Amino acid sequence: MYLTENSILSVAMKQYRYKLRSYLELFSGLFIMQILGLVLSLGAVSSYSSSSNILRVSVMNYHSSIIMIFTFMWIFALSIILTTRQYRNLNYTFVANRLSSLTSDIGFILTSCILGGLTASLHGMLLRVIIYFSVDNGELLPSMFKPSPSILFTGITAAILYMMIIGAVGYLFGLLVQTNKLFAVLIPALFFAAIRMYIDPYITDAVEFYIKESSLTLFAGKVIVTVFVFFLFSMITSTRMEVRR
Amino acid sequence: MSVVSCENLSKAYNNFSAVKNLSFDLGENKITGLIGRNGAGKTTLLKLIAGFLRPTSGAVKVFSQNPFDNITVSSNIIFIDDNMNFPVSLTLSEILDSAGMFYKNWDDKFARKLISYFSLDLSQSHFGLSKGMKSTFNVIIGIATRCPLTLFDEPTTGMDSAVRKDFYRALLKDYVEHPRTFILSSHLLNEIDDILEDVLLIKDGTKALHLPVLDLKEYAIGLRGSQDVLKDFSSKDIIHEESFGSDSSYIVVKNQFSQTKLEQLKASGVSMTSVASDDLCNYLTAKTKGGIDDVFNRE
Repeated sequence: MYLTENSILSVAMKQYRYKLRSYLELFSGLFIMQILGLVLSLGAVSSYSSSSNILRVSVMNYHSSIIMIFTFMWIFALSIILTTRQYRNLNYTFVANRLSSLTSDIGFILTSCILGGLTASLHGMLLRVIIYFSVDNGELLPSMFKPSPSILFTGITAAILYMMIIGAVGYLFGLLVQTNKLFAVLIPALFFAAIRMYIDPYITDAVEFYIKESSLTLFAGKVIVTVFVFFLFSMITSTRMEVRR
Repeated sequence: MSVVSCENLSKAYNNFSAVKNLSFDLGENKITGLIGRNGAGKTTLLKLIAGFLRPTSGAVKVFSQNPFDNITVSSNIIFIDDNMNFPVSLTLSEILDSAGMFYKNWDDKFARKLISYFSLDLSQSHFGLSKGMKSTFNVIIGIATRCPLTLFDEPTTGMDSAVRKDFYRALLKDYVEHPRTFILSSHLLNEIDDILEDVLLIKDGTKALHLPVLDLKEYAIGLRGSQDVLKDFSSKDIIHEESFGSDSSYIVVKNQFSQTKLEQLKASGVSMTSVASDDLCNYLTAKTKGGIDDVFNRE
């Protein structure tokens, strides 16, 4: 009898290609979230006006961060969806083991982060274009309105990196919930309890460790290490589960 | 070399043990029928072989390797059941392409010929198929992957009888051209006993019988006669019994009589019949010897 030998990496690559083709419906979620974010962003975040007898000034602030937040929510949801039984079982229709499935899931999440980060930034640009055409008799402050390519690049990269952390956290959270449904309540409860006690210096330090990083390279390094640790925990968690029920 | 071998294999879910102390070997290039009642542990056993589940105790070996989470075993088997998962956004044609990407022996031309024979629409999604069509599509995947070991778990669920017959024929023809190992689980032995070589009968997670189909046909004998003559058989030997009227009864016993004993029985007015293998399997896996009649018998 002749047996086919396969390396885990080559199977993971095949699974990754299979997932890119077949999880299209997950990308439609991204599209919907970003359009929704765009529509909500069309209203000014804050406005202020002052008037005298002869002059009236009103300042409108627009912000594209809501598009970003919605994109973050999408990657979090997507990572959790990938850990549900239906999506995990899809792995084992054809050739797979747990490591190859995890690797291809990670590949899929990272690809989604790149796509999400890029499109979120581009939607930010689209928002500017819409505002440009909708403001009839006003002045747009050019410094904010036309970001330099390097700022745009930094923005896109930072968005992708943040999404990677969120994706990795979501994936681990989803897997933990699959091992025990109690985690679905326990982890958010602990999380919000920690936020309530924001005075706790450790949490503040931890958040600042990422947010206050001014060098993009260092920030990327920190994120990559963090993401790696989270996926490592995911791998350990998945080895405690059956392959397919 | 045995393709699948189990040694004292057990699998328990919480407190319920689905497979208990099962030991058997399946030889290469055979079609084995895994027969048992609903809930006998057929699916659990197949999933253990496929490497989806971790045994609670004992061991299962596929191609002499532990199948659990094993990429080599996974590359050489396919598990087909009626809740096979396919992505919603793929058409049948794209699913076939994907199967071809994963399996080296995949015969794409053959798969597409089968698809058109069973008049499935390649541009449809798997999600939109009817139950019987889903099963048909799944078995086409199972046959066309030409894996060294193919596991079919109740593959014909929902198929009409014409499609079922075609499937069995296609399976047999492809097996003859490309001999490989199949395990086919079913509770309908009469439909598949002419394509099977061996039968593995399981009852409540344990092995009831494992023998060639031809031997199964000879395994037991049905005796019909007056109760006085038949009451000599101890209840230990009786596989199944039914009574007719006040003094006539029918019993099924293991076929291990000498020629003289048979003559004697014949002389005392007992008629002998062979027992259909399908009925025999039902008797062997029944909870009580009298079958459903026991429920209606008044004390």
